[in-house]
Amino acid sequence: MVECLVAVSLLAVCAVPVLSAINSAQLQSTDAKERLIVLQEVHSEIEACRGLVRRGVLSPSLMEKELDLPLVSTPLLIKTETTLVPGYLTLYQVKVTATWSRSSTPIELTAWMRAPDG
Amino acid sequence: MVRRGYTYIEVILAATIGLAIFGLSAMFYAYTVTRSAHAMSSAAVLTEADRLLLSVRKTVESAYSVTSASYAMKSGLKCVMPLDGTDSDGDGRLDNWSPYKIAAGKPRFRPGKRVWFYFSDTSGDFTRDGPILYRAERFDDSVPTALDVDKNWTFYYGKAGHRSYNLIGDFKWTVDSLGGVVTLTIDLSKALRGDIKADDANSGRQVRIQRKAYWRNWRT
Repeated sequence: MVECLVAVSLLAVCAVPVLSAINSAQLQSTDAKERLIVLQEVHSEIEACRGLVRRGVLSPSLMEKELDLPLVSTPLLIKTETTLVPGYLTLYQVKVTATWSRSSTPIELTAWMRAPDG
Repeated sequence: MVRRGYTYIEVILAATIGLAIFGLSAMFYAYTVTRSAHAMSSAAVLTEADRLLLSVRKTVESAYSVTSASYAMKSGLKCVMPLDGTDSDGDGRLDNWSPYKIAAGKPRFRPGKRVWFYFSDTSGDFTRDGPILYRAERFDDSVPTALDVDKNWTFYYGKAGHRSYNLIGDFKWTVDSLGGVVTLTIDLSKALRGDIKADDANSGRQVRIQRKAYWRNWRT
Protein backbone atom coordinates (compact mmCIF):
# COMPACT_ATOMS: atom_id res chain seq x y z
CA MET A 1 0.00 0.00 0.00
CA VAL A 2 2.81 2.36 0.90
CA GLU A 3 4.59 1.61 -2.40
CA CYS A 4 1.41 2.39 -4.30
CA LEU A 5 0.94 5.68 -2.50
CA VAL A 6 4.56 6.62 -3.18
CA ALA A 7 4.16 5.78 -6.86
CA VAL A 8 0.96 7.82 -7.16
CA SER A 9 2.58 10.74 -5.34
CA LEU A 10 5.57 10.66 -7.68
CA LEU A 11 3.27 10.61 -10.69
CA ALA A 12 1.33 13.55 -9.29
CA VAL A 13 4.56 15.47 -8.68
CA CYS A 14 5.57 14.86 -12.32
CA ALA A 15 2.13 15.78 -13.66
CA VAL A 16 1.98 19.17 -11.96
CA PRO A 17 4.82 20.84 -13.95
CA VAL A 18 3.55 19.30 -17.21
CA LEU A 19 0.06 20.67 -16.60
CA SER A 20 1.34 24.07 -15.50
CA ALA A 21 3.58 24.29 -18.60
CA ILE A 22 0.64 23.50 -20.87
CA ASN A 23 -1.56 25.99 -19.04
CA SER A 24 1.08 28.70 -19.24
CA ALA A 25 1.61 28.10 -22.99
CA GLN A 26 -2.14 28.27 -23.59
CA LEU A 27 -2.44 31.52 -21.63
CA GLN A 28 0.43 33.09 -23.56
CA SER A 29 -1.02 31.97 -26.88
CA THR A 30 -4.41 33.50 -25.95
CA ASP A 31 -2.66 36.67 -24.82
CA ALA A 32 -0.78 36.94 -28.14
CA LYS A 33 -3.99 36.40 -30.11
CA GLU A 34 -5.81 39.06 -28.10
CA ARG A 35 -2.96 41.57 -28.46
CA LEU A 36 -2.97 41.07 -32.23
CA ILE A 37 -6.72 41.72 -32.42
CA VAL A 38 -6.51 44.75 -30.11
CA LEU A 39 -3.55 46.19 -32.05
CA GLN A 40 -5.57 46.05 -35.25
CA GLU A 41 -8.52 47.65 -33.50
CA VAL A 42 -6.28 50.50 -32.36
CA HIS A 43 -4.95 50.86 -35.92
CA SER A 44 -8.56 51.08 -37.15
CA GLU A 45 -9.19 53.92 -34.70
CA ILE A 46 -6.25 55.85 -36.14
CA GLU A 47 -7.60 55.30 -39.65
CA ALA A 48 -11.03 56.53 -38.52
CA CYS A 49 -9.34 59.71 -37.23
CA ARG A 50 -7.75 60.22 -40.64
CA GLY A 51 -11.28 60.14 -42.04
CA LEU A 52 -12.26 62.87 -39.56
CA VAL A 53 -9.31 64.94 -40.78
CA ARG A 54 -10.56 64.69 -44.32
CA ARG A 55 -14.00 65.78 -43.18
CA GLY A 56 -12.24 68.66 -41.41
CA VAL A 57 -13.72 67.93 -37.98
CA LEU A 58 -10.62 67.02 -35.98
CA SER A 59 -10.16 69.09 -32.83
CA PRO A 60 -8.48 68.66 -29.41
CA SER A 61 -10.52 66.11 -27.49
CA LEU A 62 -10.49 63.05 -25.27
CA MET A 63 -12.85 60.24 -26.16
CA GLU A 64 -13.36 56.93 -24.44
CA LYS A 65 -15.38 53.97 -25.60
CA GLU A 66 -15.82 50.44 -24.38
CA LEU A 67 -15.91 47.60 -26.86
CA ASP A 68 -16.78 43.96 -26.39
CA LEU A 69 -14.81 42.20 -29.10
CA PRO A 70 -15.88 38.62 -29.74
CA LEU A 71 -12.38 37.12 -29.67
CA VAL A 72 -11.15 39.11 -26.67
CA SER A 73 -12.08 37.68 -23.28
CA THR A 74 -12.68 40.95 -21.40
CA PRO A 75 -14.18 44.31 -22.46
CA LEU A 76 -11.77 46.66 -24.16
CA LEU A 77 -11.46 50.34 -23.24
CA ILE A 78 -10.23 52.54 -26.09
CA LYS A 79 -9.09 56.06 -25.25
CA THR A 80 -8.45 58.48 -28.13
CA GLU A 81 -6.65 61.65 -27.15
CA THR A 82 -6.26 64.40 -29.74
CA THR A 83 -3.99 67.32 -28.88
CA LEU A 84 -2.63 70.23 -30.83
CA VAL A 85 1.15 69.95 -31.21
CA PRO A 86 2.80 72.95 -29.47
CA GLY A 87 4.03 75.56 -31.96
CA TYR A 88 1.64 74.47 -34.73
CA LEU A 89 -1.84 75.68 -35.64
CA THR A 90 -2.96 72.72 -37.75
CA LEU A 91 -0.87 69.75 -36.60
CA TYR A 92 -2.51 67.30 -34.23
CA GLN A 93 -1.18 64.37 -32.28
CA VAL A 94 -3.62 61.50 -32.03
CA LYS A 95 -2.84 58.95 -29.33
CA VAL A 96 -4.97 55.81 -29.10
CA THR A 97 -4.61 53.63 -26.00
CA ALA A 98 -6.33 50.29 -25.53
CA THR A 99 -6.57 48.65 -22.11
CA TRP A 100 -8.29 45.49 -21.07
CA SER A 101 -8.15 43.68 -17.77
CA ARG A 102 -6.47 40.52 -19.04
CA SER A 103 -3.39 42.37 -20.23
CA SER A 104 -1.10 44.16 -17.79
CA THR A 105 0.41 46.42 -20.48
CA PRO A 106 -1.86 48.58 -22.63
CA ILE A 107 -1.38 48.98 -26.37
CA GLU A 108 -0.70 52.52 -27.52
CA LEU A 109 -0.31 53.97 -31.02
CA THR A 110 0.42 57.59 -31.87
CA ALA A 111 -0.02 59.37 -35.21
CA TRP A 112 0.31 62.94 -36.36
CA MET A 113 -2.28 64.53 -38.65
CA ARG A 114 -2.70 67.93 -40.22
CA ALA A 115 -6.22 69.32 -40.15
CA PRO A 116 -7.73 70.79 -42.22
CA ASP A 117 -5.83 68.89 -44.87
CA GLY A 118 -7.24 69.81 -48.27
CA MET B 1 9.25 -16.95 6.31
CA VAL B 2 10.01 -15.64 2.84
CA ARG B 3 7.07 -14.03 1.10
CA ARG B 4 6.61 -15.12 -2.54
CA GLY B 5 4.40 -13.53 -5.22
CA TYR B 6 1.52 -11.14 -4.63
CA THR B 7 -1.75 -11.52 -2.92
CA TYR B 8 -4.95 -11.29 -4.92
CA ILE B 9 -5.82 -7.99 -3.22
CA GLU B 10 -2.47 -6.47 -4.21
CA VAL B 11 -2.92 -7.46 -7.84
CA ILE B 12 -6.45 -6.05 -7.92
CA LEU B 13 -5.28 -2.84 -6.27
CA ALA B 14 -2.34 -2.45 -8.66
CA ALA B 15 -4.57 -3.12 -11.66
CA THR B 16 -7.16 -0.59 -10.44
CA ILE B 17 -4.55 2.10 -9.89
CA GLY B 18 -2.91 1.28 -13.23
CA LEU B 19 -6.24 1.49 -15.03
CA ALA B 20 -7.11 4.75 -13.31
CA ILE B 21 -3.77 6.26 -14.32
CA PHE B 22 -4.16 4.96 -17.89
CA GLY B 23 -7.71 6.29 -18.08
CA LEU B 24 -6.71 9.71 -16.81
CA SER B 25 -3.76 9.83 -19.21
CA ALA B 26 -5.98 8.87 -22.14
CA MET B 27 -8.54 11.54 -21.20
CA PHE B 28 -5.81 14.12 -20.80
CA TYR B 29 -4.29 13.13 -24.14
CA ALA B 30 -7.66 13.36 -25.91
CA TYR B 31 -8.34 16.76 -24.33
CA THR B 32 -4.89 18.07 -25.31
CA VAL B 33 -5.22 16.82 -28.88
CA THR B 34 -8.67 18.43 -29.21
CA ARG B 35 -7.49 21.75 -27.77
CA SER B 36 -4.40 21.68 -29.94
CA ALA B 37 -6.52 21.01 -33.06
CA HIS B 38 -8.82 23.90 -32.10
CA ALA B 39 -5.84 26.18 -31.53
CA MET B 40 -4.28 25.26 -34.87
CA SER B 41 -7.52 25.72 -36.82
CA SER B 42 -8.24 28.96 -34.99
CA ALA B 43 -4.73 30.22 -35.77
CA ALA B 44 -5.13 29.22 -39.44
CA VAL B 45 -8.44 31.08 -39.73
CA LEU B 46 -7.14 34.19 -37.97
CA THR B 47 -3.95 34.18 -40.04
CA GLU B 48 -5.93 33.93 -43.25
CA ALA B 49 -8.29 36.71 -42.14
CA ASP B 50 -5.32 38.85 -41.20
CA ARG B 51 -3.59 38.15 -44.52
CA LEU B 52 -6.73 39.10 -46.44
CA LEU B 53 -7.29 42.28 -44.42
CA LEU B 54 -3.65 43.26 -44.82
CA SER B 55 -3.77 42.80 -48.58
CA VAL B 56 -7.07 44.64 -49.10
CA ARG B 57 -6.09 47.34 -46.61
CA LYS B 58 -2.83 47.98 -48.42
CA THR B 59 -4.73 48.39 -51.69
CA VAL B 60 -7.34 50.68 -50.11
CA GLU B 61 -4.75 52.80 -48.31
CA SER B 62 -2.84 53.33 -51.56
CA ALA B 63 -5.97 54.07 -53.61
CA TYR B 64 -6.87 57.29 -55.36
CA SER B 65 -10.57 56.61 -54.68
CA VAL B 66 -12.72 53.71 -53.53
CA THR B 67 -16.36 52.86 -54.24
CA SER B 68 -18.66 49.97 -53.57
CA ALA B 69 -19.77 49.34 -57.15
CA SER B 70 -22.93 47.41 -57.96
CA TYR B 71 -23.91 45.74 -61.20
CA ALA B 72 -26.55 43.10 -61.90
CA MET B 73 -27.54 42.80 -58.21
CA LYS B 74 -23.95 42.20 -57.21
CA SER B 75 -21.44 44.47 -55.56
CA GLY B 76 -17.70 44.65 -55.59
CA LEU B 77 -15.12 46.84 -53.93
CA LYS B 78 -13.63 49.01 -56.66
CA CYS B 79 -10.36 50.77 -55.87
CA VAL B 80 -9.07 53.27 -58.40
CA MET B 81 -5.29 53.14 -57.99
CA PRO B 82 -2.86 55.93 -58.86
CA LEU B 83 -1.41 55.75 -62.36
CA ASP B 84 2.21 56.11 -61.32
CA GLY B 85 4.07 53.50 -59.35
CA THR B 86 6.49 50.61 -59.39
CA ASP B 87 6.28 46.86 -59.48
CA SER B 88 8.60 45.85 -56.66
CA ASP B 89 7.91 42.11 -56.66
CA GLY B 90 8.11 41.56 -60.42
CA ASP B 91 4.62 40.12 -60.90
CA GLY B 92 3.77 42.58 -63.64
CA ARG B 93 1.43 44.63 -61.43
CA LEU B 94 2.12 47.89 -59.61
CA ASP B 95 2.39 47.49 -55.84
CA ASN B 96 3.97 50.79 -54.72
CA TRP B 97 2.44 54.04 -55.86
CA SER B 98 3.92 57.49 -56.13
CA PRO B 99 2.65 61.00 -56.97
CA TYR B 100 3.18 62.33 -60.47
CA LYS B 101 3.94 65.80 -59.11
CA ILE B 102 4.06 67.89 -55.97
CA ALA B 103 2.01 71.06 -56.01
CA ALA B 104 1.50 73.52 -53.14
CA GLY B 105 3.61 71.23 -50.99
CA LYS B 106 1.29 68.28 -51.45
CA PRO B 107 1.57 65.08 -53.49
CA ARG B 108 -0.75 64.89 -56.51
CA PHE B 109 -2.03 61.71 -58.12
CA ARG B 110 -3.90 60.77 -61.26
CA PRO B 111 -6.22 57.80 -61.68
CA GLY B 112 -4.87 54.55 -63.09
CA LYS B 113 -6.01 50.94 -62.94
CA ARG B 114 -9.19 49.81 -61.19
CA VAL B 115 -8.59 47.02 -58.70
CA TRP B 116 -11.71 45.01 -57.86
CA PHE B 117 -12.47 42.61 -55.02
CA TYR B 118 -15.60 40.50 -55.50
CA PHE B 119 -17.09 37.05 -55.05
CA SER B 120 -17.79 34.83 -58.04
CA ASP B 121 -17.86 31.19 -59.12
CA THR B 122 -15.03 29.30 -60.82
CA SER B 123 -15.44 31.39 -63.99
CA GLY B 124 -14.24 34.57 -62.27
CA ASP B 125 -16.90 36.60 -64.09
CA PHE B 126 -18.20 39.48 -61.94
CA THR B 127 -21.83 38.86 -62.87
CA ARG B 128 -21.81 35.27 -61.56
CA ASP B 129 -22.45 34.34 -57.93
CA GLY B 130 -20.01 32.13 -56.08
CA PRO B 131 -17.90 31.59 -52.98
CA ILE B 132 -14.50 32.48 -54.43
CA LEU B 133 -13.03 35.85 -53.53
CA TYR B 134 -11.38 37.38 -56.59
CA ARG B 135 -9.06 40.27 -57.21
CA ALA B 136 -9.12 41.72 -60.71
CA GLU B 137 -7.63 44.71 -62.52
CA ARG B 138 -9.00 46.80 -65.38
CA PHE B 139 -8.07 50.08 -66.98
CA ASP B 140 -11.68 51.22 -67.50
CA ASP B 141 -14.80 51.35 -65.31
CA SER B 142 -16.45 48.24 -66.76
CA VAL B 143 -17.00 45.30 -64.42
CA PRO B 144 -14.22 42.72 -64.50
CA THR B 145 -14.37 39.56 -66.59
CA ALA B 146 -12.46 36.29 -66.25
CA LEU B 147 -9.64 37.78 -68.32
CA ASP B 148 -9.00 40.51 -65.72
CA VAL B 149 -8.55 38.19 -62.74
CA ASP B 150 -5.33 38.41 -60.74
CA LYS B 151 -4.75 34.66 -60.58
CA ASN B 152 -1.72 34.81 -58.33
CA TRP B 153 -3.71 36.67 -55.67
CA THR B 154 -6.89 34.62 -55.99
CA PHE B 155 -5.28 31.17 -56.10
CA TYR B 156 -2.18 29.60 -54.60
CA TYR B 157 0.55 29.93 -57.21
CA GLY B 158 -2.14 30.96 -59.70
CA LYS B 159 -3.49 27.42 -59.84
CA ALA B 160 -7.29 27.40 -60.25
CA GLY B 161 -9.02 25.29 -57.64
CA HIS B 162 -6.62 26.19 -54.85
CA ARG B 163 -8.20 29.29 -53.36
CA SER B 164 -5.97 31.61 -51.40
CA TYR B 165 -8.78 32.47 -48.99
CA ASN B 166 -10.88 29.37 -48.55
CA LEU B 167 -11.56 29.64 -44.79
CA ILE B 168 -13.21 33.05 -44.94
CA GLY B 169 -16.97 32.64 -44.81
CA ASP B 170 -18.03 36.18 -45.47
CA PHE B 171 -16.22 39.36 -46.44
CA LYS B 172 -18.06 42.68 -46.60
CA TRP B 173 -17.20 46.34 -46.92
CA THR B 174 -18.79 49.73 -46.46
CA VAL B 175 -17.41 52.89 -48.00
CA ASP B 176 -17.55 56.33 -46.40
CA SER B 177 -16.73 58.41 -49.45
CA LEU B 178 -16.85 61.72 -47.56
CA GLY B 179 -14.29 60.68 -44.97
CA GLY B 180 -12.34 58.44 -47.34
CA VAL B 181 -12.63 55.46 -45.04
CA VAL B 182 -13.49 51.86 -45.95
CA THR B 183 -14.68 49.48 -43.22
CA LEU B 184 -13.75 45.89 -43.97
CA THR B 185 -15.59 43.12 -42.12
CA ILE B 186 -14.82 39.43 -42.07
CA ASP B 187 -17.27 37.02 -40.49
CA LEU B 188 -15.51 34.08 -38.86
CA SER B 189 -18.54 32.52 -37.17
CA LYS B 190 -18.54 29.37 -39.28
CA ALA B 191 -14.80 28.88 -39.32
CA LEU B 192 -14.45 29.32 -35.56
CA ARG B 193 -17.69 27.67 -34.52
CA GLY B 194 -15.92 25.27 -32.15
CA ASP B 195 -13.72 27.91 -30.64
CA ILE B 196 -15.90 30.90 -29.91
CA LYS B 197 -16.93 32.10 -26.50
CA ALA B 198 -19.90 30.29 -24.95
CA ASP B 199 -21.98 33.46 -24.69
CA ASP B 200 -21.34 34.18 -28.38
CA ALA B 201 -22.51 30.71 -29.32
CA ASN B 202 -25.55 30.90 -27.07
CA SER B 203 -26.62 34.34 -28.18
CA GLY B 204 -26.02 33.53 -31.83
CA ARG B 205 -23.80 36.58 -32.05
CA GLN B 206 -21.44 36.52 -34.99
CA VAL B 207 -17.70 36.59 -34.62
CA ARG B 208 -16.48 39.41 -36.78
CA ILE B 209 -13.19 41.12 -37.37
CA GLN B 210 -13.55 44.68 -38.52
CA ARG B 211 -10.85 47.02 -39.81
CA LYS B 212 -10.91 50.55 -41.14
CA ALA B 213 -8.65 51.82 -43.90
CA TYR B 214 -8.26 55.36 -45.15
CA TRP B 215 -7.30 56.02 -48.77
CA ARG B 216 -4.44 58.43 -48.80
CA ASN B 217 -3.59 59.22 -52.42
CA TRP B 218 -6.68 61.23 -53.32
CA ARG B 219 -5.21 64.62 -54.14
CA THR B 220 -5.40 65.52 -57.85
